[in-house]
Formats: sequence, structure tokens, C-alpha cells
Amino acid sequence: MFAASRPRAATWGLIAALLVSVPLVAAPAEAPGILISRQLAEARHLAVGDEVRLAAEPSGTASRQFRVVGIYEPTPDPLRFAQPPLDVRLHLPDLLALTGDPADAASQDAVTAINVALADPADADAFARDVAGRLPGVTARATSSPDARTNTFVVIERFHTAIAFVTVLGSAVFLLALMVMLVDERRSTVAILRLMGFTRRRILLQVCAEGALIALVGAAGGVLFAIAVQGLFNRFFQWRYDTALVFLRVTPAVVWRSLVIAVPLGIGASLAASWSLLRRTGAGLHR
Amino acid sequence: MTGLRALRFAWLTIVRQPARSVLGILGVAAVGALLFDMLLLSRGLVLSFRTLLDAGGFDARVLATDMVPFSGPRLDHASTLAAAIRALPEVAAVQQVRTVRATAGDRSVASAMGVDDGEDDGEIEIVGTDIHVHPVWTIAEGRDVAEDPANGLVINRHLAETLGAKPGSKVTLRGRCGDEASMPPPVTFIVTGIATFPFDTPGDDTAGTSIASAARLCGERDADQADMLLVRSRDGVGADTAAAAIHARRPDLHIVTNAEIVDQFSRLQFSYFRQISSVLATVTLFFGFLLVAVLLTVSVNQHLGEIATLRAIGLTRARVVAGIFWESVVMVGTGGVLAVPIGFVVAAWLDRILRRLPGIPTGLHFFVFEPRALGLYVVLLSAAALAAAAYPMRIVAGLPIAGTLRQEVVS
Amino acid sequence: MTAPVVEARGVSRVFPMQAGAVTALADVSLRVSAGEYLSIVGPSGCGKSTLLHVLGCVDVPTAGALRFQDRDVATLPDAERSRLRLREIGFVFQRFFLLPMLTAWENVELPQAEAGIARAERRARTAELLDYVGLAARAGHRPSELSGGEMQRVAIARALANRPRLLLADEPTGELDQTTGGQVADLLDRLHGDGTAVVVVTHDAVMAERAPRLVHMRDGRIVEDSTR
Repeated sequence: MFAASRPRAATWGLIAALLVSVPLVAAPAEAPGILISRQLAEARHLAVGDEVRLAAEPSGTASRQFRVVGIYEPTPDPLRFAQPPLDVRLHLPDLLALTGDPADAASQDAVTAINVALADPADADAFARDVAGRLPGVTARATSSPDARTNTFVVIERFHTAIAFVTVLGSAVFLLALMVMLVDERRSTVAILRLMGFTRRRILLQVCAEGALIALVGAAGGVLFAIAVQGLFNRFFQWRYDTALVFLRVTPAVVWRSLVIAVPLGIGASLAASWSLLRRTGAGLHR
Repeated sequence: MTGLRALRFAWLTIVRQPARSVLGILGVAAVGALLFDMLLLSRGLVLSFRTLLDAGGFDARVLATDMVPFSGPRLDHASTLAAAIRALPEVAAVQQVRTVRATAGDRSVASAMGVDDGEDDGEIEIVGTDIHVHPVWTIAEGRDVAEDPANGLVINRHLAETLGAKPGSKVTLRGRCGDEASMPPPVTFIVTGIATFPFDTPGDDTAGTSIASAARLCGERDADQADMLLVRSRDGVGADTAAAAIHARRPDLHIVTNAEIVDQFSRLQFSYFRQISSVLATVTLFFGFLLVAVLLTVSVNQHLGEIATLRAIGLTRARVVAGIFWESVVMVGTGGVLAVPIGFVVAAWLDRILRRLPGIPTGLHFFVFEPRALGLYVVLLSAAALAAAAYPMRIVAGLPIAGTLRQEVVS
Repeated sequence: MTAPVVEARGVSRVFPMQAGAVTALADVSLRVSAGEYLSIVGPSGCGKSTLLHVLGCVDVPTAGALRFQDRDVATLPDAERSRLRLREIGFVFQRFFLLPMLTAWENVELPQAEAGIARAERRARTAELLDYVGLAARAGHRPSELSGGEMQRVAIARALANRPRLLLADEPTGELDQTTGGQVADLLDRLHGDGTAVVVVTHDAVMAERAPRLVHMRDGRIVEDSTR
């Protein structure tokens, strides 16, 4: 199963391996403190003040004793929402002592990454170049620069956009069919208006206004429906995955985009639907 | 005969309003295509993942612990263990797998600041296997490692391009084993062939060699260790039985079958796509129902006079109701049939988009066809057609003939 | 006395409305014999069309009894009433009510197909009927391509498709000019001559005078029933 050999899988593995929770009856008072995620506390029935033993090896060798000093709600990670975050936070020296090889002094001082807070975040790229020049073999990168995580969301967003495109296409056809029926029902009314001397332009304007109104009301109804269900939707998925992640959010930008797509679509559908009718003469419409 | 007449009548009703009917059919085709795609997506990853897992011909994995493969401790005395498992009557073959990370020539080891992004940092994944057993890779060009057990190396196309190597080229690799302070000496290999590895992602540099050579990259440290053993059960025995036999012999080991891995991934890693496909399938189905229901209802309301006339001249209630049902069937059926090829095209497009997700193996697909999906699609669409026709059918069934005719004359 | 095709005894029809019930027919009795030709006349809203609908088994009286060929219509299930309409009754409407997606030929053929008549027999009968109403040349035309008179003649041909014993015509000339209306009336005369019982509801005095029997209605009741 080579797919799992990627760094993310390795990280999960480490997290899973770290915990060999054995609440102790009597524990030394000086056990270092750790924070555990709410999900972990619930899964292993742990509470603040409990003593646990952690080991880097699943066999439990070289385990060390810690005391739960707090339970935290982990920052939701969209990439891991399907898995309960069974996480522990340790002080770095405690982690190094737990995971390092006692026979290898260097392993006691090895970290995966060093996060640096710059005085001016705008200097991130210059700083990265500077580090690369001074420390060959070390790569520095601004945390805001694109990486695999942002790529994931770019791809997911593209996927959602593609689905939205197909949905809009289907909706447009639906709207057009509705407008064709609506206009067809008005056949005799249009005929009377034409016989009374109303110009095509005048009738088209009226149809346009109706189409715009229908699309606007429809879009507003859709937005209201989305607002109404977003809470339910989020609550269901938050319950399903035990996460604080927000899955659906109706933002002003989304509302604006919906209206910008729906209204021209409504007008276009009205015009297209009424054009075949208005091409005919007033008498022809009576047939 | 009555059914055929009703069908023909439905067809005539549909073709008399070409614009409306074409739009209705197109609308059904659009939502049908999306529904079909969501059904392909709902199990696509699982099917594709299973195909990838099964591609090597092994149906169970033996690990030292229940940790994710390649992240936990290795199996000690792997060759002895493999021989013992191979000796079990339930087992047909055992393949040892050990992975080592390496860099080519003088390519430096990179480390990252901030989040580890898993991007190409010049690292090569070396897969060491028992060359006497069916390899886990597929040779695309040249020969397999077995031709040169001591120094042979197969590399994937991306690595071949990166290194400018081809069969016959010499490649020097330096293993990254344990801590970086104790870097083992480089090892020179001869590329015997270009191979494809089932779980490679587009940017991956992967190579395959014998398990002994892989150990050599780590300076012979932990020489008889393997990350896992791949097990092929005997024909007719099944993975579960083979896993149980291995477990009975070595209860300290963790044995997982392909089916269990697929199930676990299906519940965890793939659940997002399963959920979104369920939500979108429901929405599209409702949308299709609404579209056909509205079209039919308006159509019926516009032709109440004709329906009343048909009843007056002697057509039975069941006959005119069947006409509406067939109208729905023809519209949804035509749109639904059109939707399938459209669905395949859209699925290919969406699949291309999703496969750009980081870490997705080249051989993994999100949208995979299976007859079951088509069957479910037909059932769901038929249910939508029936549901959509229900209300207009009710209108027609309860239509008062005399009252409607009177109303038509008055209007 | 000839056996009745249809007989209404003390028939009432009340329509429940929001503003109060409306009595369209009140205790109406009428007997139509085989081969008889009668006209029903009266002011608008007097119940002529409602009586026609009741006689044609498309409406059910709220009181009284209706017997069609000695069968109590009230006891017949809906499917049986449909069968009765298909095989024994022909309808001609003021607004023709031809099916617009079918040609004249198909409109005439439709009731025969529903009655399960064999294809060859259907073709012969349809050709015969279109010839009878003088529209053999317009067989392939759709209703929208026909004049009002032509549409009504097609409607008559359709009504005769299954050789009904009773033809009910509701204002058959109401939408037609005098000349065309005259042609349609001539056709009904011919039908009567051929032995079909014909009941015509009309406002047209000339048309009404063609029938040997004249029924006058007012306020849902028959006030005069005379035979010349």
C-alpha cells in the first residue's frame, strides 16, 4: 500500500502511535502537562488531571508519563474532517524526549520544521531567499504560499464550479421550458395586444420585465432556501464527522453571484421563448 | 395494444409541442447526466481503489502493527516470516516489500519550513521486493530487476525523465535511512527497465529493486526487515481464510485484507465524495422530478378540453391516465438515455479535475462505471418519472368531463 | 312504440357552488327512441347542455334514473360508462374538440382503434365516413388546416365512427356561418334518415325546426315536448 507512505499518512501514524493511554491510579506529581483534543478525551474517557503514558512505539516501550492539563477543540482541518482528530499537544522538549533515539544525541535536537514569525510578513519571500542562500539544503517558504493543502482546495473549488456549471445549464433549460409554457399560455393575450396595436418591442419589454421578475424572485427564493438549510446542513455534517468545520456558508458574494447569473438567464429565457410567438402576425397567433 | 396506443398518443402529444418537449428532454438530460455522474462518483473511488489494490494479485497484507503501512515499525526476520507464511496451505504466494527513501547522485535533501507539503523535493521512493515473486510493478520498457538481481533497478517514467536515464543507464542513489547525520554510502544501480507503479502520483519519482538492494541503500542496516508482506491466497480459499490462518500462526502480527482496507478507506478517506454525491444525487433527482412534474402539469392544464373530449368519446379513465404516464416515460426516458453519454463526457471532465488533487495515484479514478450504477440510475429515474406523473395523472383521473367541456365552451 | 335508446326519469342535476347550489335540471323526464330526431331548445342556462351530458353518460344526475338501452347507468362502473360512450353514443360539440395533433383521418380512426376494431375494417370505415361528410380529399389535414365547417364535419364523422345508436350534438352550428351551418344540418338530417337517433341542442330556430320532435326547456325543466 504505497499510497500511504506519503508524509500526511506518516503524520497520522505518528499521532495514532503516540497515544497509549493508560490512566494511572497513582502518578508522580511532576509529570509534564499535555493538552488533548476533545475527540481524544471522549474516545478514551479522559479528563483534566488524568495521568497517561505516551510512547512513540506501538509496543509501548520507552513510554513516558504525562498529565492532562487541558482539553482543546482542535482547529477544524478540512483535509482530515472524515477522521476524528485524536491529537495530543506536548511541549517540544517532551516530544523530542519521547520520540528521539536515546543513543543518538542528534535526534534529540531534530525537528520537522521551524516556524518563524517575521517582524514584517511582507518580507517572507526575501527571508526565504536569504535562508536558502545562507543555509544550503534548507528550504524556507512563506506559510501563505501555495502548497499541497491550498492545491487541494483549488481543485475541490474547481470541481464544485464544474458541477455548478452543469446545474446552471440544467436550470437554464428548465427556466426556458417554463418561459415557453408561460408565453404559450399568453398566446391569445399577445394576439389581442398585437391586434390592438401594441408593438413587438413593447410586448417584448413586458415579457423581459416578467422574466427578470420571475428570475429575481426565484433566485431570492433559492438564496433564502439556502440560508434556511445551511444551518441544518452544517449541523448534520458537524454531527456526522464530529467537527466544528463549516461545510456550507451563504456569503454575500455567493448571493450576488446567484443574482448575477439568474437575472440575465431569466431575461434571456423570456426573450428566447417569446421570440417565436412575436414573429407571427396578430391573426396568426389566434390559430 | 391499448398500451401501445397510449404510448403513441403520448408521443404525438410530445411532438406537437416541439420546443417545450425538446427543452424538457434536454433538462432531463442535463440533470440525468449529473445524477448518473453522482452515482459513478458515489462508489468510483472505492472501485478504483480496489482495482489498484487487486492489480498486484495480492489480497492481504501482513504488518507489524495496526499502524498505517510504512509509518509503523518494520517486520523483523522478514525472509523467515515470509517463508513460514508461504508454507501455509491457504497461501499461494508472499511478497516482501520494503521502501527506502533516497536521493539521486548529489541531489540534496530538502527540508521545509512551515507545513510539510509533500511536494517534489528530489526524493525518490525505492521499493524493494523479493525478485523471485511476482513484482508489484509492471514493466513498460526494458527488462525486470530479476535479470540483474545484484544491481538491477526499474524506474518510473517520471524519474527516467528527471534523471535522463533509460534501460542500461547507471544511476547512483543515496539512501535516507534513520537520522540524517548518519547518511549511508551511495549505491550504483543499472537501470534494467521502465516500470509503472500502481500507487504513483503524477510527480512521483519511484524505483524498484530487490529487497537486498534496498537494504544496501541503508548500509545493510536492518537487512532482513520488511515494511510489509503481501499475501496471495490460494484459489478458492479467499483472503479472509488466509488472513485467519496467518493470524493463528502469528497472532502478534496485524493482517489486513484488501476488502478491509477498501472498507476502511470507504468510511474515512472517501467519505467526502460519497456524501457530496449523495447530496447532489438527491438534489438532481428532485430537480428532474420538479422539471417533468411542472411540464406535465402545465401541459395537462392546457389540454383539459382535449382530455375531457377523449373521455366523452369513450376513452376510459385508465386509458387517459396511462397517456400521461407514458408522456412522462417518453420524456424522462428520452432525456435519461441522452443523459448517459453526456454523463460519461461530464464524468471524464470532472474526473480530470479531481485527479489533480495532490497525492492522487495516477491509476485512481473518481468516476468509475459499473453496471450497478446504471441499474440504480434507471431505477431512480423511473421513480422520478412516476412521481412526476403522479400529480398530473391525478388531475386527469379526477377530471369532470361535463364540467370541463362546459368550461371550455365558456372560455 | 319503438324501444327507447335512452330514457331519463325524474332526473335532477344540482351543482354545488360557493354562492349556493345551482339546479341545472329539475325533475326532467325524457325518452329518446331508436331512430328518433329531436331538438332541445331554450334560453341560455336553462339546462339544455346539462341534459345532453346526462343523456350522453358524461354527467351523473344527482337524483332520478337514467336508463340506456334498458340498463341503469347509475349502477355502471366508470369503465363500463366509457365503453357505452365509445360504442353506443356519438358526440358533436360546438367547438368541435378535434385533437389538434391528429389528422382528420386519425381523428376519425381514433374511436375505432380504441374499440379494438381491426385495422382493415378501420381503414374502410374511416374512408367511408370521410367520404360521407365530403372530406375524403382533406383526410391528411390537421384541424388547424381546416375551416370551421370542415372541422365540424370531421367531428361528425368521428362521432359516427363506431356506428352509435345515439348522436348527441351540442350547438353543432354555433360556431359556423349560415351556409356552413346549413351543410352540417343537412348532414344530421341524412344521419337521421340512415336510422341513427339524433338529439340536437341548439339556439338556431331553423336548425331546431328540422327535427320532427321539439323539446322546450326553461329553468331546468321541460316545458313543452311536441312532435310534428
